[in-house]
Amino acid sequence: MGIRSDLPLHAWALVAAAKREWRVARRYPDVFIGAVAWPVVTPVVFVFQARASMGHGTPHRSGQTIPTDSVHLAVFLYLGWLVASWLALLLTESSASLSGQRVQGSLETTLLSPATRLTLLFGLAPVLLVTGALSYIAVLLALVLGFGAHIALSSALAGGLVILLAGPTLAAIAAAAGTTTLFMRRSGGLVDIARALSVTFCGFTAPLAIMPTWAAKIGRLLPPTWTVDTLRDTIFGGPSKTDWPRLSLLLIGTFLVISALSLAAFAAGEQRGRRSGTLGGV
Amino acid sequence: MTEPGRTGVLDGQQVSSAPHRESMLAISDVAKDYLRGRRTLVQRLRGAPDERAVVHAVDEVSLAVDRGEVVGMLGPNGAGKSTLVKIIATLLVPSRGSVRVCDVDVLAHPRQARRHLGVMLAGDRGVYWKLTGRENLEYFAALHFVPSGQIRRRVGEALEEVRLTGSADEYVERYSTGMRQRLNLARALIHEPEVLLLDEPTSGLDPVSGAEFRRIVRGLRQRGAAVLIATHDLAEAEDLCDRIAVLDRGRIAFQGSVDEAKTLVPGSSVLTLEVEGADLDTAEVAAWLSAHFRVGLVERHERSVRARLYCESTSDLMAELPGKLHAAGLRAIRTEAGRVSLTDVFFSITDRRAGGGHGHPQ
Repeated sequence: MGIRSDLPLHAWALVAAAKREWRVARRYPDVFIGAVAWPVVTPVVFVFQARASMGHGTPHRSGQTIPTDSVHLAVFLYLGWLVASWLALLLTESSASLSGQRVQGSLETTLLSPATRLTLLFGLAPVLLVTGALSYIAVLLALVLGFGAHIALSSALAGGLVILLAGPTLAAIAAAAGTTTLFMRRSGGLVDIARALSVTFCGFTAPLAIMPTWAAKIGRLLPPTWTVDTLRDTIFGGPSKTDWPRLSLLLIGTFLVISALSLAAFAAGEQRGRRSGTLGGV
Repeated sequence: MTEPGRTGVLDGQQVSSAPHRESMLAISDVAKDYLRGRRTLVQRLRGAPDERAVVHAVDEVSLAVDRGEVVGMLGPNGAGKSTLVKIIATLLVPSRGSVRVCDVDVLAHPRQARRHLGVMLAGDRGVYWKLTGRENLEYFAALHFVPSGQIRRRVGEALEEVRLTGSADEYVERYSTGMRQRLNLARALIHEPEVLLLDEPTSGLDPVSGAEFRRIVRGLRQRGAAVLIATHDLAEAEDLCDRIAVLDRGRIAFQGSVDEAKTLVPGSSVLTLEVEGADLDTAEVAAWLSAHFRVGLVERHERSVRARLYCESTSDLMAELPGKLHAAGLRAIRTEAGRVSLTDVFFSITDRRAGGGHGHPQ
């Protein structure tokens, strides 16, 4: 009765957790509306602001893609905000889901089961992948219809593949943030800090090349940066501009490492709660 | 697993013994200590000595539940019942002691132990209010490794068992408290566990639902499940349990059969006496009664003091009562004869006096 021999049962439990989250999510369509509205509406302000302050054309630095006209600027910012909004949603929803379950007591009843704790950490991930895909499609439509951007179908599909590859890694980051609810009961403050840091360092609104060297170095270490950079490269330059094997390896490897760390953190939090009797606390 | 013969024990004194049986749940010398209060960050940084008092929520408790047996765990609020349930359920790690469920060490192999356990925690929390009853059970069935091909059947059976089939596709947020309690019970039963832990299972249930619940528990006993019920409801324990364990301040004050428990009360009959007087001193009345009768619970009411007097013959007692009361300047406004119940046992063991009286069984 080891965990390996029970693998199909754990996998089935994980599917059931995803199904549960999907059933809950479909009762709240505003999550999907928000996933489309935020990355489409928010960048408009930045596009107008940038147009007003910088005019047309900026030099290339370090070989990185930098917007040179208003359409390029729109694509640049829209893709940045797509990843920023998606990451924010992942972080917020993952933490809210876990702390909500804790408050309503279903965390305890789930912990009473022999199923893997991945059900609690990653049950929400498929729903958030769907929201990411919806946001991506909405952003592409806004760019094509609103700004007249010419995006080749191959580039659009390749961008979709980036979203698909990055989804699990970003969900793992969100799961790691969610585990803090076991230690701190609420993780809203921490989620806000994570969002602020990602907006600062991941080049959502400005290319890393124009950031201070130390900040750019930090940014290059972060998976959301790889995601947004690859998306921009793919949309601007086509699928051939991306080293797909390297990107896949990097994202999958990071996903595995962060997931393992999240699981370990969750186990530590659970053990702490089992000692102090605070698993069902609010 | 075979456990030593069961004995009814009151404060360390053996009351009776029972033959060897197969234990599905065995708790040995379990204790759970907490530190009362909190230590601030400043205190920690300064390295100030930790002056928090240790609270023994559960103190060296040993208990066993056999296959096909229903054991009631009784006790006042804060006695440690829920703490003990959570320890067995793997939600709490005890400070000391061991727990075995179907011969699996709960502390060493909690994941394996959970496969044998069905747990209904206190209150109507624990299910997802934004899902329907059926969706909840489907989810928990998968978490408890019910094979996917059997989930639909098991969910249908569990819903039928708790009489929720008609509301199975309604959202739980629209359920009444009693319906959520029943859904929680169905959740605990969904994987047909061998050991059931039920914490205050009938709180919030109306009498009809309570009777339904007792029917279900009897069915479980017949099926061979070992059931441990933590409850305040003494009538329910008397009606349902093969044995009881009374917890008081974290310790087991008594365990044995209900009949054995009743022998602890000094008499087979009880007379409930109510004496008039809004300004009577409850302690004085209790002391006077204790000097003349075998007294149980003495409690204050708005305009009277009520006491339970134990005897072998209520008619004899009623014959001598008026004279004694008259001599003491007390006037009885109500007397009611009855049989000793678990309520009397409970109050005599836990020494709780609802009205602040001091009477002790003699």
